[in-house]
Amino acid sequence: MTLGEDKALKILRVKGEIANFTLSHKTGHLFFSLADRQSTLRCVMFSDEAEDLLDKISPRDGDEVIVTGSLVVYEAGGYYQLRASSLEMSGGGDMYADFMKLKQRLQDEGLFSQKRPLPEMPGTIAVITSPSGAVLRDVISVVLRRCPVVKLRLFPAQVQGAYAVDSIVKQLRTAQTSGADAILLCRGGGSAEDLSAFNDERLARAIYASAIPTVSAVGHETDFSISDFAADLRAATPTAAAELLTPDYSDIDAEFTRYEKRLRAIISRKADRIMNRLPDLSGDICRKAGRLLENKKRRLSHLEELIAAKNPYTIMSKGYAVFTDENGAVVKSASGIAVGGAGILRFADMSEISVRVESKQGKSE
Amino acid sequence: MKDKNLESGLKRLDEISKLMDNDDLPLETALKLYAEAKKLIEGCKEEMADAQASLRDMLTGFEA
Repeated sequence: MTLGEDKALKILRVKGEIANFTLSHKTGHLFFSLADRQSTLRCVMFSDEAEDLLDKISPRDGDEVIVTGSLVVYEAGGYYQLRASSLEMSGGGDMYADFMKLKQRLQDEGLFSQKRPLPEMPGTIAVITSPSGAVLRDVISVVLRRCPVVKLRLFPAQVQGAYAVDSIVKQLRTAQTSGADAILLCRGGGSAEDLSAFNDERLARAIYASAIPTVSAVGHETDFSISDFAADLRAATPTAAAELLTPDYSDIDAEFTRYEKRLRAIISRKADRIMNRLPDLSGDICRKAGRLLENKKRRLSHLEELIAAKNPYTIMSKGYAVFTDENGAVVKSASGIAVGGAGILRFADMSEISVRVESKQGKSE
Repeated sequence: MKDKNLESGLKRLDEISKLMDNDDLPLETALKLYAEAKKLIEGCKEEMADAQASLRDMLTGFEA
C-alpha cells in the first residue's frame, strides 16, 4: 500500500508552532513548518486554500496553530510534508513565547545595545560556520568577487544539534585572539529547531562579550534569532553579511580614479602657475645675462683702446719700417743680414714688402 | 664654452696691455704682442656678437 492509499494519513490534524512562514508571491502558495521543541513538519498550503485563509487571519512565525491536511511526499525534495487544507489558531506557541521572554530579558539587561561600527576595510574576517555547508562557499565567493585582498579565517563550528551552542561559543572565544577585524557568525536556512542554537542565552552573552565587532546572519531574510539582536549588526542572509563586511573593490577602484584625477588637476594647476611665471623668470635671467655681456663689451672696448694707444706701428707712421729676415728676426744692422739675403719690410699700416739685399754700405758692412 | 673663450681672451688682452706699458719692451716683441692683441680683439668681438644674438633669440621667445 502506498502512502496515498493509506486512509489514516488522508485527514490529519497536527498541532504546532508556525516557523519559516513564507508566502510565494509567484504562485500564491504558503510554505511553513509546524514545530515543537522536539520535531518539525514541513507544510504547504496551495493558493486556493491560502487565499481563503489569508482573507480571514494573518498567521505568523511563533503562532500556535492546528493544521488539517494529508501527508504526502514531496518527491523533488525527498521528504514528507503536510498538504494543508485548513489552518486554525490555537493560542501562542511555547517556543515563540520562550523566545520572546528571553529576548525581552536580554534586552532589559542591555545585551542588545552594543552596536559598534564595522571596519571599513577589514584585513581579516573570522567566519564561524559549518565547514561543509553551502554558506561558507557563498561567503568565500562574495568576498573574492568584491574584495579579494580581505583574508577569511574559518572557525569551524557545529551549527545545529545538541552541541551546536558549545561549539559556536568556543569558536567565538578562540576568534578573539586571531587578529581578525570582524567576526561573521552565520548559517543557512532551516527549521525553527535547526536554528534554535542561535536563540541560546549563552551564545548571546558570548557575542556581547566579543571584543571584535560581530555580524550575525542566520537563516533566511524572515528569520530573526537572539544572536541577531546581540550582534553588532544583523544581516538578512550570510551572503548579505559578506557584502556588508567587505568594501566593493570596484568602489575602491573608482575612489582611486577620483583621487588620481584630483591629483592630476592639482599638478596641472601648479605646472600652469610655474609656466606662467617662467617667461618672467627667464626674461629676467636673459636681461641679467645681457647686462653681463654689456659689461664685457665695455671691458673689451677699453682694452682695445688701451692697446691701440700702445700700437708700436704708431711710431712707424712717421716713415719708419721694420725689417725682418727670413726667420722673422728684426734686422737691426747691415751686419745682421748677408748680401743676397731676403727679408720683409713692415710699414705702419701693417703692409709689407719682400726685399733682397743687393749690397751693403756703412760701418757694419 | 664660448664664454670661457671670451673670458680668457679678455684676460690675455689685459696681460698684453700691461706688457706693452713697459718702455724697455723690444719693438719686435711689441709688434708680436700687438698682432696677437688684434687677433684676440677680433675673436672676442665675434664671440660677443654670437652671445648677443643668442640672448636676443631667447628674449624674443619669452616675450612672444
